Amino acid sequence: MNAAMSQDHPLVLIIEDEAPLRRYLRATLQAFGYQVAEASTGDEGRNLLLQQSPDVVLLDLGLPDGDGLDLAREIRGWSRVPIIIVSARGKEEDKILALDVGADDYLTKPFGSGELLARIRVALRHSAENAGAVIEPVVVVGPLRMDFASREVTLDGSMIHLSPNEYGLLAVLVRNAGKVLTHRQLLHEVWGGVAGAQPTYLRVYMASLRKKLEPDPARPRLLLTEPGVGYRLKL
Amino acid sequence: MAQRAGWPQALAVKASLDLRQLATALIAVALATAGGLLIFRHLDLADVAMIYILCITVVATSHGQWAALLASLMSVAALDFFFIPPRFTFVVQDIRHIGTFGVMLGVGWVVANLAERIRTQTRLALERERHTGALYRLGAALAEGGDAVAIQARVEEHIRQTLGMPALVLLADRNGQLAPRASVNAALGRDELAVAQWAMENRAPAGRGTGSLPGARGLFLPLVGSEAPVGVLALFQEPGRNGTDPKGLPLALAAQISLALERARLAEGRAEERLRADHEQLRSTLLSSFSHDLRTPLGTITGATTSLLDPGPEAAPGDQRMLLLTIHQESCRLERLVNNLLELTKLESGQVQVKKEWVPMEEVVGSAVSRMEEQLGDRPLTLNLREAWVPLDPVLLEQVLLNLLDNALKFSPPGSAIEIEGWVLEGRARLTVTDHGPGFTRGEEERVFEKLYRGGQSASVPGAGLGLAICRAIIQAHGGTIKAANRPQGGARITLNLPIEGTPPELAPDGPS
Repeated sequence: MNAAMSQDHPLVLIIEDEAPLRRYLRATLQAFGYQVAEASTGDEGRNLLLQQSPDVVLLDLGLPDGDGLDLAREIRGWSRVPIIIVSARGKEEDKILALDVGADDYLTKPFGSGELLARIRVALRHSAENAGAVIEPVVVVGPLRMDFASREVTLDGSMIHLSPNEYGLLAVLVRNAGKVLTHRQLLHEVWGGVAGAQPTYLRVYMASLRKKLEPDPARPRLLLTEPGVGYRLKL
Repeated sequence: MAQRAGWPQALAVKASLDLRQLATALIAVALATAGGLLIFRHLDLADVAMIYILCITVVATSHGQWAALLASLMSVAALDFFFIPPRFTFVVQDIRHIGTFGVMLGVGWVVANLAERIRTQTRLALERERHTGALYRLGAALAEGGDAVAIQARVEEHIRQTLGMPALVLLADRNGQLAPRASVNAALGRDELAVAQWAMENRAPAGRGTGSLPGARGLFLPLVGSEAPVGVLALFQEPGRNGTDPKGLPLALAAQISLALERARLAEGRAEERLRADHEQLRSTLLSSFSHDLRTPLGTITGATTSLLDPGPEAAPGDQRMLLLTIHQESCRLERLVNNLLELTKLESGQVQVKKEWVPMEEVVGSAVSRMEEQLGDRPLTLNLREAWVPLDPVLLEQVLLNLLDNALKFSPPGSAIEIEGWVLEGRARLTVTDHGPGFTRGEEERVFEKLYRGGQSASVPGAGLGLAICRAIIQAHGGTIKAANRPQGGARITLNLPIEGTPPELAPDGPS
């Protein structure tokens, strides 16, 4: 892997069958200093992935030569490269499936360049953290500061008291800041597969977290809902 | 009449001298003889003759002509044998007694004929009454209307009840073929069906008791409307019953059924015609609406891009950004339109399943609001939500709220406030989205939820009038209601009502860490 080069100009592999969309992605990414490799089919994408070791993969779920979902599962079998799914609106189930088999995030068509770049930045950041395997003791996200060593949470400098479940939920979200987490992933991370844990469970604690962290819980600044999929801590 | 052509005589009731009549005559004459023997000592021979005549009359009225004639003959024989001297022989000494016999036979003959006529008239009167009753009841049953299949079922049931015989109504399809029907095919078999088809094609009765194909089990009467045959009425006699007079009731019933079926057929044709017309109308409205709504943004985008690709020499530096903004806005508009169209198609074809989950009201409102932040810009938005858990499909409900917010933005002046309120009342969650625009025009409140409806003031606003139709479809799929109204102080307000069934989740909050 060309690590040094990669760091300055990370390589993005686009696996997308629509040429106009590829063109737009290439133009946008190159304009912001990324290198781009393009594949129009799953097979081509697999080969490029093996040859060029990209830093992040943009994968369309609706590929002509087979299911993008299968490809995501396959890639996750032998690579930790961040995968961002590109999918059409109203396909929440496909998104959840893709995230559950190991994709890192998703973009819903049509998406703007700001959203695209934000997702890629988050994905690269988390993959760097994973590679370094260093767990930051203190993470700051906007007005929120979380100290994992002392288990202290402050919002705009003032201390917030959280219950163990609230703290656990917030910790997972902060560790994955900017990234979408499915209901299943959150339930697994926070409650470790406790029997009977359901999305409702999650919603109860999310509601109480919002009450403590959001000035207007119906207009959240930090704890965003991805309807039908899960939650995301806004970076 | 065409229907009666070729009607055979064979079904006429065959009068036969059967054993019952013989026995009746015998018993009656025996009784008369016994009576005669009792009074003979005190009275005259003429009185005994009168007893026999009484006996003949009684037999005639109760058992008909043939029994009466039989009784007459037996009476003459008995009178001769028991009473005419020399008694207990058939020898007649006095020639005058031959005259008595003649009178007795003559009276017997006349009485028998009279009695028979009365019996026939009574039977005919009863039959007429039965016919009238049956026709009247059939008419009442047919007056209920309905389509051909409903009439078919009702007629079969009716004939079974009033005439006590199994009946089938076979309907002809548009090509003049008797339409197959599982129950009918099982009951009839191929040969009988062929007889039925023959009866319809020749517009003549066929089958049992007729001249045509009399070997069939059923009697098949063609049902002929004013123009074409509409089907066949098949009647099946129970074995052992008297035959049905084919000239009477069945034909009258068949005529009545034919008319009802033809009426139903015509009504069906008209309904189909109307449906087709409605469909055409909808399609053309849809087409004109979409061609407008798709063309306008596409035209703007194409124009703006050509201008960007080939800017004039005097183009101002700010123009480029302005054109790009226009392209962006128009693309968003197109996207929204196509999404709505797809969504409505999915909803209407039943592809969308409502997956209800308990969701806090603020969460579903919150996700819609954050999705709209960009469009909302600096519009003042007031959220007033009570804490409430509602069973709903979060993805679909978000879509409803997105459409409502989009409408509120479109139909109210820039910078004016929008309010979202939510509370629970009598076991129902209520959500309102209110703007401070001109509101709905009178009488428009129901129509705004119709597909492709565009109110007077919305004519100038883009959108094909699908948003609220989608909202209604989604809310109805939740078992809820959606209403449009104006706020007393002005401004449009949409109110959602969602049922809350079951118990909301309640988890004991864990202690502070």
